Amino acid sequence: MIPMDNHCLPSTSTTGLVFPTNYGVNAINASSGFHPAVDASGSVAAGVKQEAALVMDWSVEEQYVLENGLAKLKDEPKISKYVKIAATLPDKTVRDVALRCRWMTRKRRKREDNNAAKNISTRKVVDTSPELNMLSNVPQQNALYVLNNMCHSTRTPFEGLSDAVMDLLQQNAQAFSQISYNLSACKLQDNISLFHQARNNISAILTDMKEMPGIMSRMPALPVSINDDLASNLLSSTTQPISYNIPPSIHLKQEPRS
Amino acid sequence: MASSSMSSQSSGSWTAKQNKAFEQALATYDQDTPNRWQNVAKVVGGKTTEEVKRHYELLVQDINSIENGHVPFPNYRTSGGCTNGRLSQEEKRMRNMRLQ
Repeated sequence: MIPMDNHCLPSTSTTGLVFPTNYGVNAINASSGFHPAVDASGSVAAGVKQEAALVMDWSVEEQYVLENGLAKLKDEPKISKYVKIAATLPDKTVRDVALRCRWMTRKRRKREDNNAAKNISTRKVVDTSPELNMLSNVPQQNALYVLNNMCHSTRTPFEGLSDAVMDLLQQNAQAFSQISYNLSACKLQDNISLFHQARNNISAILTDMKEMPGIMSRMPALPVSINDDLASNLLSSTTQPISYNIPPSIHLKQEPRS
Repeated sequence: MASSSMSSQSSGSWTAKQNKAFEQALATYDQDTPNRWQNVAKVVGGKTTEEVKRHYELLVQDINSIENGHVPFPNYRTSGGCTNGRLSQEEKRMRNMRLQ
């Protein structure tokens, strides 16, 4: 029997990774660098054409399950961790989970290098932080800062978060996914109640954080806060009998921030 | 590489369904479980103990390749991403507005 080296990949598994047999092609792909988490539609199309088998969606729910599984199983051997997490994700294989974890590790290292080089900007946080990927396509900057500061404080994603806060963050992630869908489907009216719910969740999270003991109490104040006057004015329209048809973004323009 | 891989397989290929059942069985019957491979083979169905054991060894090799950086990353798309250009512009506008 021919001995199999480390580069040999299974050709029998239809759900596993399907790679070209010419390893040089892989080298070319690897040298092209990473695709940012927030892709322009053009590069997505290019990716689909070049590596159709390797285009991969990780939904907010799947990313959440992955992060949660990593936290709970952190003392397990790596193979067992990946196997158990993949078992809870119907559309992902063990190899998919391992690749995603590897990608997240390298993204985290890259972000830390950026922090050392200079002050971090919001765009870099959005583009390079896989921990924030579940929120990366939503306009709510405040939640990004909440998660970002916690990651910096503890160096371990989601450590120190109470279960209640995790539930609220998950609710917000789902609400923002729905908001994104409503925007693309032009159902803007449905977003009012979702924004209202998200705003209440954020207020509850911030209150909980102020009362958190230990390292979290030494966290500096958040650089961005909710514009309560603007939010109240916008969201209170849900109680009025008049049908509110103007898109929220147009209304926002009429209230420039001081 | 493909030919050597195929020749090492003494039987037919694995379907996506069989592979998923295999991986879920691995989670159920963990590493220290007695009679692990017999149980996994029973769950998968249509595979011998030796076949599932070899399938696991291939999986371990692939995981090691991934961990050593020999496997390029897929082109991850933003979850819930929308190719609608208008939405993208909307998000940018919202971000800029917030940061003013």
